[in-house]
Amino acid sequence: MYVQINQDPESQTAAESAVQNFTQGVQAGLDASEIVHYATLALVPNPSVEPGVPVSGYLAILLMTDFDLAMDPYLAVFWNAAGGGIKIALQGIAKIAFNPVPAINTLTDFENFINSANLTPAPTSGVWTNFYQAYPQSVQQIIGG
Amino acid sequence: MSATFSIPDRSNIQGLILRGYTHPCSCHLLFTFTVATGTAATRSFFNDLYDKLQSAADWGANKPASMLNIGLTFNGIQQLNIIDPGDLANFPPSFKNGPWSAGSQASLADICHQPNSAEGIPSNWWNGNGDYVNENLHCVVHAYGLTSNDLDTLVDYITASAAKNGITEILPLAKTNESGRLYQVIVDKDPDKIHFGYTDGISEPGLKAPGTTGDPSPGDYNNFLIGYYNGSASQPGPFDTTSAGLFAKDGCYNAFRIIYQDVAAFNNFLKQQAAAWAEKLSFLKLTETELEEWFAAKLCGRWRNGSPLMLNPDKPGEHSHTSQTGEDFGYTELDSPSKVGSGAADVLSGLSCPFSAHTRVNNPRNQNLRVSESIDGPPRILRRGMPYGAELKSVADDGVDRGLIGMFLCGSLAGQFEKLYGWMNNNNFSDKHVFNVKHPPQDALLANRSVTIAPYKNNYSGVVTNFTIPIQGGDILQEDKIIIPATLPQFVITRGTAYCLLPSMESLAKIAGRGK
Repeated sequence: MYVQINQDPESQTAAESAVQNFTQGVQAGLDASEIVHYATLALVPNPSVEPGVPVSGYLAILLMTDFDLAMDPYLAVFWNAAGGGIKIALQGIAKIAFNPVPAINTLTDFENFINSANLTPAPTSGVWTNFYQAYPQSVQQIIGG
Repeated sequence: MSATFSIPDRSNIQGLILRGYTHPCSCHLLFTFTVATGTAATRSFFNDLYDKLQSAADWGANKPASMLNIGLTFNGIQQLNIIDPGDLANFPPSFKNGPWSAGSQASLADICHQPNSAEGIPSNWWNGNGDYVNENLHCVVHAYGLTSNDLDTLVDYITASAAKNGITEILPLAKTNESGRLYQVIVDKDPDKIHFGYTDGISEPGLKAPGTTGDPSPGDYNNFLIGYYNGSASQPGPFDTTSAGLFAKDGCYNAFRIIYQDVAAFNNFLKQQAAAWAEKLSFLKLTETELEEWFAAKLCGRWRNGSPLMLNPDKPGEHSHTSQTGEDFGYTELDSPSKVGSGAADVLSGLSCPFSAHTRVNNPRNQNLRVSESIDGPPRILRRGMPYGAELKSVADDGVDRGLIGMFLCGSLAGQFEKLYGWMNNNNFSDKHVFNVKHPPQDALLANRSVTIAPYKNNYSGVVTNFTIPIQGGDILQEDKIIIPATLPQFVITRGTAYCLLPSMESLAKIAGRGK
């Protein structure tokens, strides 16, 4: 999921804070779901104007995750997850989005936000050409649940 | 928008949603609005139809001789220009993208690989015209009659109005199937029977209105009707005050699905299993025909007369699937405190009803579910189904297209309908006491047996296509036996699916030019 963010100081600070607190905020909910292989939040640096000259600040926020099963039927698991950390994290990202995102108040809003920001939707052919995994098992199959 | 606790007005809700019709005759007509028809033409068409539109209000002692209900696809709503264009995005992704989309197909998994071909491919749906129909199907009209004459009169009325207004009918079946339309047929002189011989047709979770006492459950109104959030599990949307939310309020989604049934393969499978396992099951003291019925019941979770295995484990009973007594059962061994809260408490019930029996997979009731699969119980759907295509009269397949016209009503196409389809294709929703984690089975009747090969294999790791029937031998000292018939055949193939909104009476009146 890729979301371009605002360049104002408050948004930039909020983005840094989101990354700093991400694991703590989502841990309980993702543990309980037993379907998420990993989730990581990263900040995409602003592009340099001149080669070799670094630029401060962040262009976007990037959430990379992989979970078992189809996406849309299971977004409710994250929306309703224990502790509310996942919901809060994504509502926070929506608030600093450069392209305005309608307020995320309902599961349908959440589904639409995730789908609109998803850079890797399921391929129309059904066959992934840009994804590798070393193992095909579900989380439950791996942990032996 | 704050949570709404008001009681829905039945007169503003289409009748199909809140009541299972028992009219023995029906026809399901598909239409596309061409750009050239314009608003005036569609307004005229809907104005004609509105006179026959049936709400959920009580019709008293006199059942209407004929009536209709209307579903609109997302593309249809868009075409009608009835919602502010900027608000169309507020509908849920599954509805907007359609059942043929990659996102929905991740759960529905409709492509079935046969030995020499692939079937169920969305681009081949609708009599081979999937690429066109998927994008251009705008409206489905469900017409009902008490007699075939009543129905014919109504169908003539609907199609005449369409022709008058330049609206094009889509024929979803091959012309070899009589008219090419989806007419309900009567199987074995019983309007409640489907081609596989089961008494079926209507599934009705106990619908409790929002605002009434008790905690919300997945069977409550607010899991089906849009606009009554009230803590529901499925949270039907759009739930907002935009033109999309207002249009959708008091509506419900319908996954309209045409499912071919291979009746000859099903009948032959029952015969083969009865013969193959006759000796091992001799303690049941059943004739070969009765043993076929036993296998049919184990596949479904109900005997073919509709009585559930949990209430009638040994032979068909009098409990009807539509009666209260026929619904009063669960799968968890409640009187075993040491096992409560664990899937182990569900194991004993497998002796009556196999874990992968169709009705158990689609409504596991109080069976323990994994955290990711349940908010407060299994997702529920309202199901209205009827057979299409002439009844099979021979042992071998006769080449006739026959199957089920399925209407699966829900508040969330992804959270209810697609989730249950995912469960059917991969029985992984309960823990290791119920399903083998490394090699999960499938729904015994409706699953796609080829999900472990491309394009679906990433979602179905380790899935197996056999079927386990726990049994206890005639000697009670014998340990439980397990029967695993050979790989289950592909009993069904998807012929087409459309995601429709069944809008409120008020919203349809607006389209007809009658509303505010």
